[in-house]
Amino acid sequence: MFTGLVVSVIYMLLGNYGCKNVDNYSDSLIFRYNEDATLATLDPAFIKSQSEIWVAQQIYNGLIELDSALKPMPALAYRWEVSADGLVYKFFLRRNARFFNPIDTSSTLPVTSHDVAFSFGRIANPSTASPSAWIFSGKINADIQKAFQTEGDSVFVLRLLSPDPTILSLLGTVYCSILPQEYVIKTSDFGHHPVGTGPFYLKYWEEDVKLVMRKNPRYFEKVNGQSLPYLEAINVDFIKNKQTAFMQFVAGKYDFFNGVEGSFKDELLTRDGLLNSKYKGRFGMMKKPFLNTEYLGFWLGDSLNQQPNPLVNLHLRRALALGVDRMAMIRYLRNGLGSAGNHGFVPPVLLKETTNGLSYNPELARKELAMAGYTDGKGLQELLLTTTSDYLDMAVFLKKSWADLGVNVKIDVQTGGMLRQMRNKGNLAIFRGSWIADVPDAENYLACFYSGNFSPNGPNYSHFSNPEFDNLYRQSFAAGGEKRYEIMHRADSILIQSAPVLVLYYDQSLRLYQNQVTGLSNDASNRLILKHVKKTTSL
Amino acid sequence: MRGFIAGKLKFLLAVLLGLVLFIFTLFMALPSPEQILTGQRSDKATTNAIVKDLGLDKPKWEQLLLYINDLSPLSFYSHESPRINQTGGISVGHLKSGKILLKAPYLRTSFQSKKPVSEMISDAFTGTLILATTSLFFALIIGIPLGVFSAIKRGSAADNIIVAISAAGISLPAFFSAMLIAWLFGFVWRHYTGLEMTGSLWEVDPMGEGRYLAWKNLILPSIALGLRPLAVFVQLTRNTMVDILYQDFIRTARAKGLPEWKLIWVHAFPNAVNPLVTSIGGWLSSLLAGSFFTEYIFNWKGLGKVAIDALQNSDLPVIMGTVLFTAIIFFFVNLLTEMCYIWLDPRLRHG
Repeated sequence: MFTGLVVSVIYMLLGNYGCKNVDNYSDSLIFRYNEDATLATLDPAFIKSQSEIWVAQQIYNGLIELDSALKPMPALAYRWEVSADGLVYKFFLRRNARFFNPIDTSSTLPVTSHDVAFSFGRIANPSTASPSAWIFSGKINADIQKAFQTEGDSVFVLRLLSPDPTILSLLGTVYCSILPQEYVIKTSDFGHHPVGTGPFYLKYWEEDVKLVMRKNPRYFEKVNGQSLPYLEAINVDFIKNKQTAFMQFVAGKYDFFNGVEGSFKDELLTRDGLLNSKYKGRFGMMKKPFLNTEYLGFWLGDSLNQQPNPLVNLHLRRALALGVDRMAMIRYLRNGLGSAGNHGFVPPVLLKETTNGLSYNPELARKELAMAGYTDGKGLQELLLTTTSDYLDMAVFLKKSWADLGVNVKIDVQTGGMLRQMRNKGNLAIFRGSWIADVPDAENYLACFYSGNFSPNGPNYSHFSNPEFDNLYRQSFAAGGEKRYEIMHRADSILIQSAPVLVLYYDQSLRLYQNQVTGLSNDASNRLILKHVKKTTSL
Repeated sequence: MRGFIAGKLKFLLAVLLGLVLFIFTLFMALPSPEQILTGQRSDKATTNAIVKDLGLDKPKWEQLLLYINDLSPLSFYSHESPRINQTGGISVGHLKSGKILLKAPYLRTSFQSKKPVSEMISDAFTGTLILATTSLFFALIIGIPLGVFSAIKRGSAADNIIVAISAAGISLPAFFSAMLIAWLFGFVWRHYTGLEMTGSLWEVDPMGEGRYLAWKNLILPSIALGLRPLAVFVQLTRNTMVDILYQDFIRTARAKGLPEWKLIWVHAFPNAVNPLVTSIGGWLSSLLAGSFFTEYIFNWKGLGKVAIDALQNSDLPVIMGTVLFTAIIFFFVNLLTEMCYIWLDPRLRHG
């Protein structure tokens, strides 16, 4: 210890403070950002969080990928064919894609159809216990070999039990990345030693300290004859305190910063969601509608903790939904980030026709409350609203809004895990939730209210059941084109008028970036695509 | 001495067993880990598969016994059990249904990352140990001379200022001083100090080619963490020295014409060491176990950060591992403190 301290003093006296960079690459080739969440794994079969997805997106490719409008486009499969009945998909693999193994860089393992069958089979196999197993659940034959077939090394065939209009989008998610079968089988901890075909490979990862990705020299994609990616390395730090990370971004330590939180939102944004004058010109900001609906769910079971449940009353739920001024909420609590939840549960960008929601109307709210049998809230018991601490300000706003109607609400703050557990068991009267689209399709949202998806076996936490809605939801799988949009719009309208849910707002992603960064994009899934990014000057 | 240590070890064993039972009971109040491990659309089959994979489908008593079996240096495993290879023990007995293994306590793997808990603890503990000992060292080298100086100058303006500042230091919460120090020296004045708001002992080359020691990252967290013990050491040293400096043997020594430095450091100070040793032992234990806020604010990789993350994720093996490890640390630091007493105080040695 003493020796260490002596070394430390000498080190400091010598002023050797700077970061080492053994290869002497220019800083303009290194992209730095912070991640405030812990990365548990980089195995696509087990990743769940956005933080894991962002890194995995740099390392792997799928058969197809989603473009900036979230439409499927070729990736490892250069083209595909769909049978007339929509049950058989045939993918033709590109021949110039190779896995890059950082431990054995001489290895040039090509991507084959067997790797594709193995990767999908791994997710679908119940013994893997993958959280993404739902992607194929109920859609393919229980005998996985019949569902995932190969024709030679370069053609992969997917056989479905019934048509699924979302399947291509699903195959474009990072969960369906293609892995090297040979390597995965012999590696005991693939989640920490990943191998993929993506633009970058994992060079170094010390949990909660640092992650470094390097340029994959064998990446197949080119733009104007120049190989992607342009950057040489990506550095990810893991500062948990978001405010500290923001200060480090302001100090120029990071090239990119995502999101905003209560502790510094007023410092950064005006009430209208613009950059505060002190930051104008210092860095860039991009905002984009993000497929995330923030909502309150109502429990609709007959009883709640062995007591009669007042929320089975449709008029009461409608009164609560009509009594919230979401525009004011967005302006004062979110600094204009997001749009008011005055439409359906499905974000408006996913439908062609806008659903009319239950917008703020205090007069109508009072009438609905009277129709529910609780004029000015008289006779109504105190309701319990359960939230996590991150949304406490919003819960207080709701409590105040409903108090104006005469409805008393008590706020209960729980941890995320406990809230999920209680919600899944149907123990919460009103609970806060958010639904981020797994794929850019309205089905993903409507599934949350299909009666076949009652929690704990599915995401229908309210236990909402409506035969007409269920029928439309089922029909949406068989329909296509305009007809499908119309069906989903009708289902969304039924849902919102039945008010098993109170939509708070449709989220927006916010990204800050240093002025020297170019080529950074943003899309409705808030993905981080770094293969096109360049930095013009060093920091 | 052997009897003394054996008695203490028995006590440690009882404490560890009690802790295992206590945490297992407490774990029932935490959200089930499968709620955190499943995605938002996971179905029942997936959830059941995860529960089975984690071994949470077994009755609670069986889960507890299996954990104690893994923890015990002498364990029984059936031939089919994967633990036979995982734990790396040596076989000391063959039975028809399995093997008895002699091995190091097996703390299992994390529910979240699947990494071995022992590896996670050893990775994180290095950071905590270095931070705690450096803070303590900083507190001692400044706190003791200041305390002695204050005692010598008793009643003077300097004494009053030192006492007032140290009283303020004791009442300053660690998280507040950490935030203040990080903000001032790591952000506002960063161009003059050259220090960062955050950072661990090791920094990684931006190209990922390796890591190197970044001792400069130790400066701010050590000062932040060492401020409270420093204030305590100042007060403790001062008060004890004031008592001693007015005793007869000091007066006699002074009358004999001994130089003042010899009087203080050779005659008076050794008599003030015992209460300091008690305090140092206590502080070392609590700094090793309780530097979470400082670790969090400076993003210093340490044991506290690992434990809190595990609690948030209902990661039982990691919670269990970190608590048991902390208990062992407390035990050994306290044992060391008691042995120091015996070594320092001849009355205890002969008694």
